[in-house]
Amino acid sequence: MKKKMLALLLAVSMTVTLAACGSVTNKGSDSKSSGTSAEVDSGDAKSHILENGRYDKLVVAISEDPQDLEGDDVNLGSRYYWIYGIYESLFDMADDNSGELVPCMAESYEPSEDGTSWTVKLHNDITDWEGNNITANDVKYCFEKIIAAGQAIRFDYYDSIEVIDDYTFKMNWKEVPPAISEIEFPLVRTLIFSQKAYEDHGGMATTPVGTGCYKVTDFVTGSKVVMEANDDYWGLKYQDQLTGRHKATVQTLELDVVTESSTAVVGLENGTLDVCSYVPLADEEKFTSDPRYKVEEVVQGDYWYIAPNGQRMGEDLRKAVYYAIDNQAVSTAMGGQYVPSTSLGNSAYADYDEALELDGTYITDYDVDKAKDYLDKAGYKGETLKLICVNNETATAAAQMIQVLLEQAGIKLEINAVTNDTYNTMTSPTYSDQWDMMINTIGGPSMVGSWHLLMDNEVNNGLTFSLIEDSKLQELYETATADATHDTEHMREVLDYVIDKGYLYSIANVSTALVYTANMEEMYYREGYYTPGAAKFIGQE
Amino acid sequence: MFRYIVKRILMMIVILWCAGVVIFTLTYLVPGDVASLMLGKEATVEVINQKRTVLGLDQPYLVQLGRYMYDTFIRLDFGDSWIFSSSVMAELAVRLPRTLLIGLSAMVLNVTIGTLLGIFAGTHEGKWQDSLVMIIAMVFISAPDFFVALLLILLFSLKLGWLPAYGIESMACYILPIISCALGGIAVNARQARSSMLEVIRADFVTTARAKGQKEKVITRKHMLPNAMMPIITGVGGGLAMVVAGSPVIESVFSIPGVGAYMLAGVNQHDYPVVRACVIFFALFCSVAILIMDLCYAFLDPRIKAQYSKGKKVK
Repeated sequence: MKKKMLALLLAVSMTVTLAACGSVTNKGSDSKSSGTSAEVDSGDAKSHILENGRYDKLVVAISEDPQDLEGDDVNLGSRYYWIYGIYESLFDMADDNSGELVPCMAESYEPSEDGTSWTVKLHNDITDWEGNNITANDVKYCFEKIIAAGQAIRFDYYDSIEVIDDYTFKMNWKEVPPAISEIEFPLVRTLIFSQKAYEDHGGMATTPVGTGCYKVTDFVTGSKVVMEANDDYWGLKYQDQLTGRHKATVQTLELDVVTESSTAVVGLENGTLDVCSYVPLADEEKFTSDPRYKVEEVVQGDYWYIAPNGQRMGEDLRKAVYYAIDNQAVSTAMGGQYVPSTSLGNSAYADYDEALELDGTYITDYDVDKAKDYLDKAGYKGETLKLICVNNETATAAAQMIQVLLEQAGIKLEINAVTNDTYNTMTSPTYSDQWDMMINTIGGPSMVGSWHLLMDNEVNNGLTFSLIEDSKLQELYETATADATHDTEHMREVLDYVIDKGYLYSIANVSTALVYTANMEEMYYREGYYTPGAAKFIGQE
Repeated sequence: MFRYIVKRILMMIVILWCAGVVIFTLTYLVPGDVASLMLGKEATVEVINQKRTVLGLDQPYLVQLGRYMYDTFIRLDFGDSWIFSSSVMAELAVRLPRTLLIGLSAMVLNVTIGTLLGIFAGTHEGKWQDSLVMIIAMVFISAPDFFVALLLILLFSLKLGWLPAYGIESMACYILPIISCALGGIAVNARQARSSMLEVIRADFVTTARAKGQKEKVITRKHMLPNAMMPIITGVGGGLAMVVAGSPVIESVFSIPGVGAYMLAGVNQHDYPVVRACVIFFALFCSVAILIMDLCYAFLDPRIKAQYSKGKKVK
């Protein structure tokens, strides 16, 4: 009897499990047929277009809780995709990814003769959702607030603001900024709002009042942000001058916090969600065969790297380590969304060019024999190298695979996985004897921007973040970042030098599938970030 | 009994005060600089120092502790979150109902279904009913929360389309999280109740009742159940204290902004006002839950009630 019961129970549980697991496949075929019957033709898509020309409602999955909607933080993180719909900045970067400044709230700017200050003129008709006119005093207030809050990251060249009149102010620099990328944070990432609105609301964490083309109508921390197109948007009459992200092409834009990618995949499959940017590549095929969706593989700007301790590892030993690493194997160990890197940066950056690919170098070539040759040259006697990384799952998986690969080449490696703050402390010059190499992830506003910590000799008391001191590297880096010489040729020179010296190794890029409704004709991208609220939909002009 | 309750409430105040000092000291002693962690690698020393000043981290330990204790216990103000830029008290007040809804509903299911299944299994010891209940219990004890949750989403949200996969829009959004939370607890309670029943089923007073010709149902209800309930209540009390902490895993899978997710974010991002407030809050809730549990003991066991009313312990 017991055996019969056990068999019955197992059969029932198996049926339930199979029904649940099998649902994906079944739904896939279901949706395919339903998709075919409800074929996404232009007629169906056009039914979503309202009389005012906007798409009716778009539900977008976001993986991170925005936590608050304050505008006094230049470190936008994942809010970058949508926060500019709410707040705006003085300038924008050009839509063509040329790195040019485009005026936004600022109407124009005039650098002084010596370049140490800019006279900036604001549009005189900028109003927020509550009708407050934005003046030069508001700009000054926002800058001072960011500094007082201890949020003024990458404000190295910013000195002060002097108000000249209601709509004109002088922005003083500590020294002449060498490149627009060096002043991007004060100009493009500093969000401007009305002092009066801020004080009336006692902050804007949950009740933002911006000037953007969307108004926040509902915000539940950890759950959702709902925005409605702003019909009184001040920028409507300047649309031909503003960049594309100031166009509200959707009437209701709802951002749903869905932290688990598997839950988001179900949300897309059952039609609750319209857009999700973090669908694992393993699930991509479900949507490529579903006519309700379009799929794009998106390479994210952030990439994983290995940086050797400039104070402890010689050039030959560095190269021995690099040739012993197979970044295909390491990427696989890191997880399904990682792909091997082929340069120090990737196509997500505006200044990326195919000519910056590093084919035929130790980044793409895995050669254990070559690694052993370099080990002999380095006089390696079997010492144990110490690798430091942050103790998250991805970094640890990468470190463990690197340990296995190095062992095959005869290099002993000890892994020290630590918390984020211990990592930051350990990588300071004070503890330079505690580690030989580090693995971590890095990103930036541009490809050269991502090199800031890795190559700028000034970031760590006269050293790079990985404790390298090299005046030639510094010269090449500064040339490649300066506006006049920020081009592929000079960037390639930097990369060639870095590879020649063995200063860095790039492991992997993050690549996910961006899945969005087939009713969307074209997604809007800025600096590799997608902006669904400014996308173009079928039936829109 | 009244004096006992007053005494326990006074003790709770001391416990909360001690919890405040301990959690503040522990978070103070955590290595690493919170300001630089919050601002990232790009921040300069000046900006980091400015942030430390804003957060009050540049003050000596005793000054920080004194300010914290005054704000928390005199002004009843947990301060503002460093990450969420909003009042911790206000955020807890918004999130707690969601966590309690899931936790308490799951607890009710745990206790009722789990206890009934346990009694059913205990009274059918060695028969197929007992084996069936124990096998089901084993399956749900072994299955991780997130796995059960994902299976439920696939079945009820994707395959059948009956319930939402995530969110807090309607009460329907809470059904799957409650079931996911409850299944493990039902299994644990069923095993606990069965074990307790088997202990009392062989007790002398049960044999005596049977010998006196008492009906089996009456023996179960009047003799076995009250005695078997003591360890179950202990388990429920412990579980009740855990309810307020929420389940970060379940809240994450179903994207429910509850207390568990809030504290997890606080811990991960070194948001000490959130961590400290949550600990104080949990200490308060635990103290109340244990007090209620002790009062339930007294209600069920006349010996304990007599002990309370005399105001002294029976040695």
